[in-house]
Amino acid sequence: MVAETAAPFLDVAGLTIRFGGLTAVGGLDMAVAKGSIHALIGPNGAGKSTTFNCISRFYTPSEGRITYDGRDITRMPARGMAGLGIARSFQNLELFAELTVFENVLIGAHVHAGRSWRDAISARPRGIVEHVEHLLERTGLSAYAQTKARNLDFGHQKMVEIARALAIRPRLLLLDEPAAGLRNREIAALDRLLCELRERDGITILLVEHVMQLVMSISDRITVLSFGTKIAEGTAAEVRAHPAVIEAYLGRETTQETLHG
Amino acid sequence: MDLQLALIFLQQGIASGLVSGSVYALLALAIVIIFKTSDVPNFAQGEVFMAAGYVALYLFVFQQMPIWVVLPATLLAAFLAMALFRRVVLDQVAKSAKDLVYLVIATLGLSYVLKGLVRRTGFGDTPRSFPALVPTDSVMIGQASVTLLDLAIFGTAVAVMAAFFWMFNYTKTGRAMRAVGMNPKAAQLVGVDLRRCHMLIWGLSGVISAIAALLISPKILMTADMGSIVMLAFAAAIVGGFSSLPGAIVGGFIIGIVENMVGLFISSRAIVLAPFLAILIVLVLRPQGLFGGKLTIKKV
Amino acid sequence: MKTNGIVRGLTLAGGLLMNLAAGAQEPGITDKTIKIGIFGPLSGQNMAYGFDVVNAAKMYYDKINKDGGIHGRKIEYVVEDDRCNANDLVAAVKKLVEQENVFMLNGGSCSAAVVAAKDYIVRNKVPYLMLNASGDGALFPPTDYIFGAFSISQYAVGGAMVEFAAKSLGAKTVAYINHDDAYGAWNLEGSKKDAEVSGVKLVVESVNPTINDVTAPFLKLRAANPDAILLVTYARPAALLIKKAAELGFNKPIILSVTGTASLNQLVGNVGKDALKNFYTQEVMIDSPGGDKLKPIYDMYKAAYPDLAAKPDHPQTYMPYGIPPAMSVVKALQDAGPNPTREKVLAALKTQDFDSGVMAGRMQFGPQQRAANRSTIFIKYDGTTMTPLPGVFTSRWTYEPK
Repeated sequence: MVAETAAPFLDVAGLTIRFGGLTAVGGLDMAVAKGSIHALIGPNGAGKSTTFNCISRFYTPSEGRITYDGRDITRMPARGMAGLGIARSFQNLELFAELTVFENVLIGAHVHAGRSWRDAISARPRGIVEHVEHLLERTGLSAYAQTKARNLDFGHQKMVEIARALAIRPRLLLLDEPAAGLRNREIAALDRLLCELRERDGITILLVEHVMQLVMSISDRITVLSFGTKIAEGTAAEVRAHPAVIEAYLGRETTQETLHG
Repeated sequence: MDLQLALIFLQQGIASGLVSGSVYALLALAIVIIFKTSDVPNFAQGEVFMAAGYVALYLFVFQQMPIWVVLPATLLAAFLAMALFRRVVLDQVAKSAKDLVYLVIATLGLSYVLKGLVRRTGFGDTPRSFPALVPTDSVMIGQASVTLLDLAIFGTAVAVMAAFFWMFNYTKTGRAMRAVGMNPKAAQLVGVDLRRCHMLIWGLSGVISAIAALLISPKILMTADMGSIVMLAFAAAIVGGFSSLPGAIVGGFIIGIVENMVGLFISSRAIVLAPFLAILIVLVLRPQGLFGGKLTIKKV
Repeated sequence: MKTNGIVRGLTLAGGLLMNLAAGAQEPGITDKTIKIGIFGPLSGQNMAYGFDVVNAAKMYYDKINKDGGIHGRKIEYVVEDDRCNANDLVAAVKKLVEQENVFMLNGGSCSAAVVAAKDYIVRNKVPYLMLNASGDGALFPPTDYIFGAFSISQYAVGGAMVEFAAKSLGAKTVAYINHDDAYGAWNLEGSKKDAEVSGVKLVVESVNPTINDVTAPFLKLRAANPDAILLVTYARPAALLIKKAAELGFNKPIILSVTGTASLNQLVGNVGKDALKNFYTQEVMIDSPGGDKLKPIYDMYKAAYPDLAAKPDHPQTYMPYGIPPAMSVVKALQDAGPNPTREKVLAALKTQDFDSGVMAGRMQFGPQQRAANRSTIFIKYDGTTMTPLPGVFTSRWTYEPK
C-alpha cells in the first residue's frame, strides 16, 4: 500500500481533449501516487490512448492541466520528457529496427547522458556500457544483445522497447498496452519486471492496458474510462465489482469471470 | 593503343580519379547526411559549395585576411547559413505543407538565391583562382603524375571523412543524429531535440561542402557555375546507395575514377556523360546502389 | 447606294496612292539625315563585350558628321540595350525597325543573341551589319541582308592558328582542343583546309565547356607527341589546360585562340607566370590592345569620352572593334550614291573590300561571303610583356554552298 496523503506524483485535472467537434475525453481527473502502479482501462474507444498520448505530450489538451512532481507539463514538448525522467513505450513499437538490441538501449542511455557540450562530442563513456548490460539482464535480453531489433520475435521486441525506456533512468514510466500480443509466459515475466521496478527502483508506472490478467494482478489503483469520462476508480477489487464498469464492458448481462481475468 | 601507354593511362586515371573523387565523396557525404535524416535531396548543395568558395576568396584575396582567420570564418559562415536555412525556411515549409516536394523546391530556391547573390557581387564574372596553400610541384606515383596539392586534397578529404565517421558513430551527438534519421518519434522519446538536431545536421553538411570547396578551388578555377559539380556528387550518392554514408564515399571515388577512365579510354566528349551513364546503369542493375542493402519495395 | 460606291472607290484609290508613295520613300532617310539603329550589351554581366564597342561606333559616326556627313546627310543614331541575350536583342531590333524606322541596323556583340534576330531581319529586309559579334549562325548560308564577323568568324579562328603553327613554329603535328558545341564544330571544320594545304596533321580532342578535370584529354594529346597545342576553348577550360601542361612539364608551344581569354591579366593570375614560358595568344586586331598602331583609336576615345577614359576599366578590351563595322556602314552609304536606297546599300556591301587600319586583315565581303575578317596576328606573352610577332595569318576556308 502507498501513502495516500502525499501530493500525487502525476496529477491530471479537468483534462478535456477535443478533435474538431468531437470530445474524445471530457473533464478527466486522475491522480497517480508516487511509487505506485496505476492502470487506465476501459472498452475500445473510451479515450484511453488519447489520454495517454496527452500525458506523454504527443497531443495537447483543449482544457485541463497535467502536473508532474509539482511541475505543470501541460504544454511541454514531447522531447522534454526524457529530461524530467518520464519515459514511455509505444503500443506499435518504435524501435530503431536496423540496430541491435544493445545499440537500441545504448542510444537511449547515451543520448540522455550529460548536458554539457563536452558530453555532446564525447564518445561512449564507460559507465553507460555497464548500465546497458545491466538493463538487458533485467529484461531477459542479454542473449539477444547483438541481434538486430527487427529480427526478434514480438515479445522480445516489446521488452527492448521497455529496456530502452528504462535506459533514461525514468522516475515515471508510461506503458502503452505492454502486454498486448504476449503469450502467458511473457505476461508473467512482464508482471514480475513491473513489480520489481516498483519495489526495488521506486518507479511510478502508469499503464494503459486491455489484458485484465495483468491489470488486476499488479495495479495499486485503476481508473476506468468509458466514452471519454471516468466511470469508476479504485482498487482492483473495487473496480471488478463496480456495476458501471461491468455494464460498460459487457452491457446488461454480467459475467464477472471476464473481470476476474 | 599500345600496352605501355594503356598502363600509364590506367595509373594516371586512378591517381587523378582518387583525387577528384575524394572531393566528390565529401560532397556526396554532405548530401546523404541530409537525405538520411530529413528525406530531402538538397538541390542547393552545389551552390552552398560555390558560395563558401567565394566567401573564402573574398576574405583571403580581396580583404587580405590571414588564412588562419579565413578558414574558420568560411566554415562558420557555411554552418550558420545552412542551419538557419533549415530552421527559418524549411521548418516553416514543413509545418505548412506535409509533402516533401515543397522542401525540395525550397532547396531549389536557396540554390537560385545563392547563385544570384554571388553574381551580384561581380566576382563570378571571370574565372578566378584561389591561391594554393600547398605548393603545386609534381610528384610521380608510379607512372602517374600528381601534385603536392593533389596529395593534400586527398589526405585532407580522407581525414575529414574519418573524423566525421567517428563522430557519427561514437559520440552522443552523432548517435542522436542517427536516431533522428532512423525513427524521429523514438528519438524524441529518448530526449533528442528534433529541431536542434536537424539544424546541426544541415550545418554540418554546409561545413563539409565548404571544406570540399576550399580543397578543390585552387585546382579548378572558380566561377559562379562551379556548383554544377554537385551533379557528380549526386551520381556518387546514387551509385553508392542514397542512404548509405560509406556508399557515398565509395561512390565518390568510383565516379572520379570512371570519369577519368572514360576520358582516357573512350573519348573526351564522353566525360560529361560518364556520371549520368553510371546513374543509369546503377538504377537498372541495382537500384539501391552498391551499399544500399536489400532492395525494398514500398507499397504506396 | 450609288454615292456610297463612289466614296468607297475614292477611298480605295486614295489608299493605294498613299501606299505607293510610302513604298517609294525609304524608312530612316530624309534630305538631311540617315537614321542608324545601334544596339549592344550596355548592361548585365556581359556588358564588357559591347559597352565600349558601341561607344567606339558612336564616336566614329560623330567624327563623320563633323567632317560633313555623307553626301550632305548627317548620321542620326538611336541606341538600344540588348543585354547580350536573344530576347532583349530581338526586342531591341523590333523597336528600332518598327518604332524608330531606322534605315539600317548596326549592332550586336554576342553571337548567340544575334542569330535569334536573323529571321525577323530577313523578313523585314533591313540591311544589318553586326558590331563585334561573329554571328556565324546568321552568316552561313549567306542572306541578302546580314553582314558580320568584323571581329572574326569562328570558321576562320582555327585555320589562322594552324597557319601560324605551321609557318612560324614549323609544326608538323598539332594538337587541337576545342569544345563539343556548334562553335567548336565550326572552328574545327574551318581549320581542316589550312591543315591540308600546310601538310599539318591535326590531333583533335573535344571537351565539354563545363569540364573540371582536364587530365584525360591532355594526356591523350601529349601521347600523340605534338609540336604545338592549339587551345580553341573558352577562358576557364583554357586556363585549366595551361595549368595542366605546366604541371606535367609540357614545354612545347601553346597557342590560345582569340575566344580563349578576355583578360590576359586574369589568365596570369590563374595560371602563374611559369606556365607561360612558351605561350602565344591570337589577336584579331592589327596590334596588341593598347599598341602603337591602334593609338589613334584610343586617342579618339579619350577625346570623345574623357570621363569614362579616366576610370580604371575603360576603355574596355574590345573597344576598337566598334570602328570597322561603323566604317563599313559609312563606306556602303557613300558608295550607294546621293540617293541611297536599301537595295543600293546592300549591293555596295556585297563588293566591299577595305583596310580598316584596326583589324589584322582586310574587311572583305563577296557574293557568297558575309564574314568580313579572316585574319589574325599572334602575340608572344610571358605574363608581363606582349610581343606581337610579324605576319598576318589568314584562314583559307571559304563557304561552299551545298
